[in-house]
Amino acid sequence: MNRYVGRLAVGLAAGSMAATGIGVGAASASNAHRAVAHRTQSVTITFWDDNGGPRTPLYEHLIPIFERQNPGIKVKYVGIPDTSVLEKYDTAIQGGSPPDIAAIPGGDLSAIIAQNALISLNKYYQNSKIYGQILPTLLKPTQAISPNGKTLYALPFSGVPATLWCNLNILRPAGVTCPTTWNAFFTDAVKLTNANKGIYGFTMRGAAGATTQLIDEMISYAGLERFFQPNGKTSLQSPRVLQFLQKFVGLYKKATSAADVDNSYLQMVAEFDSNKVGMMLHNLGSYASNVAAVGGKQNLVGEPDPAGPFNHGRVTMAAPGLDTYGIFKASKHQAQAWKFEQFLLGAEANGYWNKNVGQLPANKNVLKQAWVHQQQPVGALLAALSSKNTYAVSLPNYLPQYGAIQNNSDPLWQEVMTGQITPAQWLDQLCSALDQAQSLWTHGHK
Amino acid sequence: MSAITAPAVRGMGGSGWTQFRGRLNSARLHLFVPLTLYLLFTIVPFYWMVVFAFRPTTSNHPYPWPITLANFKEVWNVLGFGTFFENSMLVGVGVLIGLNVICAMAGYALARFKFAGRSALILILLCTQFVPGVMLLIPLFVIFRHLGLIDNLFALIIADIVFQLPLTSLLMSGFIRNVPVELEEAAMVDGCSRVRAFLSVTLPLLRPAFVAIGSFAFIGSWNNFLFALMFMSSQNHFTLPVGLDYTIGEFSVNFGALAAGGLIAAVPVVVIFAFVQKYLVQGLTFGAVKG
Amino acid sequence: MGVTQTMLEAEQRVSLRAGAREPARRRRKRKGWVPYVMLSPLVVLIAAFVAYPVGSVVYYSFQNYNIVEPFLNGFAGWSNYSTMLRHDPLFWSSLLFTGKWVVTEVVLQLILGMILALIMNEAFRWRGFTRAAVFAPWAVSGVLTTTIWLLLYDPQAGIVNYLSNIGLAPRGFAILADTHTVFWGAVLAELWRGVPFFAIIILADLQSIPRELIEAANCDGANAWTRFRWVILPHLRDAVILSTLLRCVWEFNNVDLLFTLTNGGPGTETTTLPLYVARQAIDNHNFGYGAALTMAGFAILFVFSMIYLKLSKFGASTGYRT
Repeated sequence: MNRYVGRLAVGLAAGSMAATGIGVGAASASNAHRAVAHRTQSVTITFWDDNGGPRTPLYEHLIPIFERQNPGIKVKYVGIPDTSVLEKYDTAIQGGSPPDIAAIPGGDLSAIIAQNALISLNKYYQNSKIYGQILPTLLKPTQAISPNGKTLYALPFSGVPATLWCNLNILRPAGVTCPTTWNAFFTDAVKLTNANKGIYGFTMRGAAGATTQLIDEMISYAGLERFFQPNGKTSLQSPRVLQFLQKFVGLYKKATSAADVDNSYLQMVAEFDSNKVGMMLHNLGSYASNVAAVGGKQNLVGEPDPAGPFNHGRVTMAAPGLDTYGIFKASKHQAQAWKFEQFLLGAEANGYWNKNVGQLPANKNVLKQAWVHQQQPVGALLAALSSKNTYAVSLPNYLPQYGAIQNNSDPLWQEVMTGQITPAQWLDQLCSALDQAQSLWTHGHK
Repeated sequence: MSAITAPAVRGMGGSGWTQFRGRLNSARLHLFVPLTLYLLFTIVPFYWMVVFAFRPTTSNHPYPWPITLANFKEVWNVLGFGTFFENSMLVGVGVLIGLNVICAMAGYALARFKFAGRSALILILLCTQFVPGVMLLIPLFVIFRHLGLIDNLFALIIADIVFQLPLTSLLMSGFIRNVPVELEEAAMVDGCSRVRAFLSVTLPLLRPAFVAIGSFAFIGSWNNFLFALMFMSSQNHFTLPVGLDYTIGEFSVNFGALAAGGLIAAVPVVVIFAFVQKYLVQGLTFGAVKG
Repeated sequence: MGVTQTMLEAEQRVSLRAGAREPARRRRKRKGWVPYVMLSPLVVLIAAFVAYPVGSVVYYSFQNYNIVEPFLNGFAGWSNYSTMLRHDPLFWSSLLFTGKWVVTEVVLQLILGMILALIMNEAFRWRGFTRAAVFAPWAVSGVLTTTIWLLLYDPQAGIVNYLSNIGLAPRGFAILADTHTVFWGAVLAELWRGVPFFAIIILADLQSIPRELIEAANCDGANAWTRFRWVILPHLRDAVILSTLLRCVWEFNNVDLLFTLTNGGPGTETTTLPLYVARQAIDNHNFGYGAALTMAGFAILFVFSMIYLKLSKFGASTGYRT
């Protein structure tokens, strides 16, 4: 084997020589390129969209407006397919070539902050035209993602709260209205099911993303008011939560298709959109495709997660999921990038974007626009979130491992559904992973 | 089991063929039953794709009715498949040419020469296949950045060539070894240089190999999603697989557009292959190996 | 008797040819630089674009390298490896599943590919169309393959639904949801796009069988099996050995189908080692541990390839040494 090792080493050396040798030439070439760019006045900033494809037309509409208002700045739009956002962002950051500004899903924000890739936007925001316009319901959870709980490494532009979707094509004939309590939900799901005809009351998310939704649902059912207790242990470790999980997994195959164990959002939404399923727990983001599938607004209702039996007059719900814009440290045009961000967060652009997507706008002034009240789900969710009666629980999105913990729990949830482990075992592993990450975070940031 | 009388078939007029014709006909059933079953297995998923591509999103029929072109308009006009198609074509052709040239040279050296380091080289070629791509992305990105090739289609051509080379050059050397060396030697005795002998004698006989390897090269790069997404950073430098992923959004999937985009991506390749596949059969047909 | 005679003669002719090649080789060996020049593009490309990335994997397997926990990064010694070997049941279960997956896929693909290549080597009407159709799935990208099969398998929207309407499948049958059927569901989808690989390589290699070899066998009235076993198979030998090995490696390392089709589930039922690596690298950002898992896969493939090539005596018939 020694022969091979020796030759491999030679190969390695040759490779690195080749790479660096050619690299020198290319580096000077790019310097020249920069010099040329400097002479012309206009600056081009690169913007990455984290949901390229469905959202591309929206930015193709907004960017020319921005460029007309800011003649010195050109925006290069790059749509990143949602399937590989974090992988693309990680590779670009670690490889040393991130964009100037990007749309970042709230769930991925902590991982990008941990790579020290973003700048603080506090000063920019305080000195801007849009200061004070971002809804606190969305701003606070964004702030909470930073390690010190204060720095704004990104600003939210949209809220994606958990939503119960009801297909009235299925509910109406059965005389059922979209349930507002969990107890009604459990009864209705079974009532609507007619397996012989292939009709199910509910479609459950069993695979990727199951845990993310379950956390929202557990909080809402059990009426939890904070995610971590003062002693650093998660409040999810509770008999109420366990009760919920047992009832919930009891719906599998009783009110759902057996196939649901494989449901990521992709199969789940497809099932709901096949017009054969009464209810789906997802978020506001699937609004557009749901409306199209059920044949119009009049057949679709979107409500907040139902109320639990323990809430003593108050409704608890998880803080909505976030869509944010962040500016990268490596950017040479941070000021121009901020101008673009400020434009996108303004009432005009923010309203346009959220109206077309059907999500919660981040800019207060958008609430005055008529569409907000014409789109039933947006109105319902906004009303719930801004009600004094509602308690919105912040999720530990600041934990860099939070995404990974949820991902790692998804396959185990499938094992709960197939009966290989109990709901209690699933909850135990989730809680211990959360406690461990929280403790690492507390010590790491002292 | 007439399946294996193969090459005799080509000499349609040959006496061997006539002799066997009767027996062959009685055996046709053995041929067509498995073939039909397999074709069914192959075609059903394509049919399903056609159904989704041509029917409206709201339809539930197992056939494309009412027929619509809306999905195709969506992917071509809104998602910009025209550009992606062009880029995929450029990269695919680049890889096809580059890979076949490099492969032919390397394959010839591996097949016809003994030299120091030959075994080690084959071993290293095999080893390059042992590491999953996801672990190599960041270092590869750094290399391409140093070369100034990020967001340049050449990066895709190079990366696709590099990761297909080990497989294809080993296959090519196998094909070359099956071409009798005396043919070349005869040409060299006749006064040809080695290069001339290779070009005029061996190369034409390798046509099936070029078709096979060219198909690998082209389709491999045509379908490579990871490199295209990671090493390109402009909307107008992405390729078809990235475009296909555009139909899978954060919260919902446009199955109709995905199927339509899939057809746009698959049909040209299938059609091209339908035309080139006949060259697979023409390798040694012209009596090259007589005696 | 006549058949055996012809076989022997054919073999002799082949070996004569192999023998005739020897002096030529020796003559060429003196001009030592020729093969190196011909190999240089390949060597330069591999050295420049593979050596450093692979080297970095080796390096990171000895590091704590999680890009979202930079404060913990640093030299880790053997700790990634010891975690993997001692405290990670998923490593062992994924390894076991990888073996099952690779063997099933490669054996089935080889058999089906061989049969199809032999059939398509025949002359019949619509041969061109048939070939194009058989090879077509191969032109379909990974994400599309999995989505088509997801749609086919979907009990609501899929073909299964229509099959159950006419009584051919149980109502609501979800092949990917059941721990007993998910394996075959995934195997079928991978076969769909994997078989053309063998079919095309074997078909291309069939074209180079010297015609007089088959004709001689035919004249002597050799039956189909004898021809296949003693004329065709020996000729295909090296191509089959090599493509099988490469396919094993490819099926071992390929993640895209399982990633989208089952995402390794239900549970971790269909998680292969590289799928687990991808999870560590993408979801957990843990490139250090991912690198250690990668090295394990590397070592396994390396040992497997060596044993496979030795046992199969690859290249023995043509003096091709490894």
